Amino acid sequence: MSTEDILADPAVDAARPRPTQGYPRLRRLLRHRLFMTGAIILVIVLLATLAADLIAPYSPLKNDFRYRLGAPNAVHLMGTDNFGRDVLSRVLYGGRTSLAIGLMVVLASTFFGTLIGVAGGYFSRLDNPVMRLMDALMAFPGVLLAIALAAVLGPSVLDVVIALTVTYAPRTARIVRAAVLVVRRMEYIDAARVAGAGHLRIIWRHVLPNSLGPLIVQMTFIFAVSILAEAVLSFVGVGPPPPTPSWGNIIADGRSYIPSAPWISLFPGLVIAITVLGVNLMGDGLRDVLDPRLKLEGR
Amino acid sequence: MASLIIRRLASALPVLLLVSLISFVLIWLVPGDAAAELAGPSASPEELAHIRTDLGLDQPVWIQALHWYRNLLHGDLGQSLLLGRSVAAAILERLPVTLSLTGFALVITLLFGIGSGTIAALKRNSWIDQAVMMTALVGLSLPDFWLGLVAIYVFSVALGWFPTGGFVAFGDSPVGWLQTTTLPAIALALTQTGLLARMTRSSLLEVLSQDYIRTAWAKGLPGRIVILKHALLNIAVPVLTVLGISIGILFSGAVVIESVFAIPGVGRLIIDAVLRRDLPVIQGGILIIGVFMVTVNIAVDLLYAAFDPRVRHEH
Repeated sequence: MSTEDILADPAVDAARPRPTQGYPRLRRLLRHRLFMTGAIILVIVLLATLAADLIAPYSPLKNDFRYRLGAPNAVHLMGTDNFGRDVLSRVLYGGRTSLAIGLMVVLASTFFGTLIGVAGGYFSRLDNPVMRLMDALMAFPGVLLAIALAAVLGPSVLDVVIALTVTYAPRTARIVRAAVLVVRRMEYIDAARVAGAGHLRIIWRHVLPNSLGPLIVQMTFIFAVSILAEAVLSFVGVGPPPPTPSWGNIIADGRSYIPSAPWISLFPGLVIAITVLGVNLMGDGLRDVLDPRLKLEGR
Repeated sequence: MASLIIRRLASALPVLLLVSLISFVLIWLVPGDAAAELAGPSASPEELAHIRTDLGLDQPVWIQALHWYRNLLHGDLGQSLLLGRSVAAAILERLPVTLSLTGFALVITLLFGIGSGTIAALKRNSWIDQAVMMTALVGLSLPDFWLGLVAIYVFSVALGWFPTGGFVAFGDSPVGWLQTTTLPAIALALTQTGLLARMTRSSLLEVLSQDYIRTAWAKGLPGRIVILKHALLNIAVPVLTVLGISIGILFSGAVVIESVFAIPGVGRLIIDAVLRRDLPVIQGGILIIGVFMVTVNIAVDLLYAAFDPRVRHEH
């Protein structure tokens, strides 16, 4: 059998490597059912909170003492709280606070985590001292460190973001460092250096793009845990201050009324669960597509 | 093994030093004048001066740090600003409560996490597998304290099966202990059960595809020997990793769950301190938990070596 004959065999032809066309990972992601389910959930939640001005039936802050602790009905779909405020409207506006905190924590911890991780992974002299400090920060269970920091800093949205960033950036740093350590040993890095590229250029053009997969998965993870952590911080009284609603402080407000008016705490918690589930589904999908070897880690 | 233990302990020392440093540094993060901030707006000048001396804020920083470390070596975590007693005594008194709650939650996590993860892996892609994995993911997405609130409403308020809160020590009444800790332990364990189930499943699937498992089946070993002895023992390392992380999360989850169920443990102590800005208790509380976690991590590393001879002979 000649070479041509072998190549003409359809089975062999199908297995032959071809240049990739388009964005194969993006296409795989769009076909990933769980990822798309998560993405749709998140988009719906995002749109609903962004459009709160248009779709919220009432003001989230307006008291109406005639309807205190009213059960869910056709007028107040999620009932009313102890001030007679409409829970649905508060949940819609509260989403802005909670999601904004999540987003800011993702951005800040990704920025600082990447900076620290690259510093540790690329410059071996910095590695030991920097990573020991990260180890020490990670020795504290995440939520607890955030509670302590928020308690000391004071209750405001910014302080909550700072507390959560200090808590989660070390985890990002560790993941980025691990990725950088692998990439740094690749021959193309040596080639770039021989070609005269400086540290910054090598990091920006070669190291970072090749560490992107685990980093993106980590970002979805941090978004999910930040939304959960905001709720915890609000619950223990160091979250974003009332009366501005956040999902966490609506749950906290309803706590004393659990026996008589469980809906106040029930609905914001459900919305948190659905949102976080959506983000986790996206994270799982991204993990499947970007980095199949990555195992569950962190928190 | 002895040299491994010594090496591991030595490598934990710098981390422990940094952990205690972070707890110490917390006081500098209080914005503005820490004493005024902690005393509140209504404090008299005498009270202010009192707090300042209590916390050593009238001393230079390096003296403060020196005091902090000298006292630590004597097991002294300072005096609470509000409880009128030492922080160490307050924490020690409440530690058994928290340990019994987290211990219970850990048992639930282990049983259901490894159990359901194993079943899911063995029945890969069946409806059981999908149901277990979906439940695990939902469990990971729930706020645990909120789950506690829902459980109180359903099982305590509506059905009346459990008390709405409080705590009975196991020594006083095992039944009472079970009644007061079951709901909080389940609420606490749910997220970690999900995490462990996912980890067990994925590690087990990897192991089950190995050649020696096929050999074990081929030479006619009974299924339980193949699964229990050949497969499950070999996922000990990844499972231990998750477990080390889980213990930390259970512990910090307990901090919040204890205040949901009015359980007088270390967590309640810390949360009350957070609300009243009793800084020494916050510092002492997170220091104790940080040190506890470093210890857990050392134990996990040593268990790796006990389970996996490859780790033992690596160096």
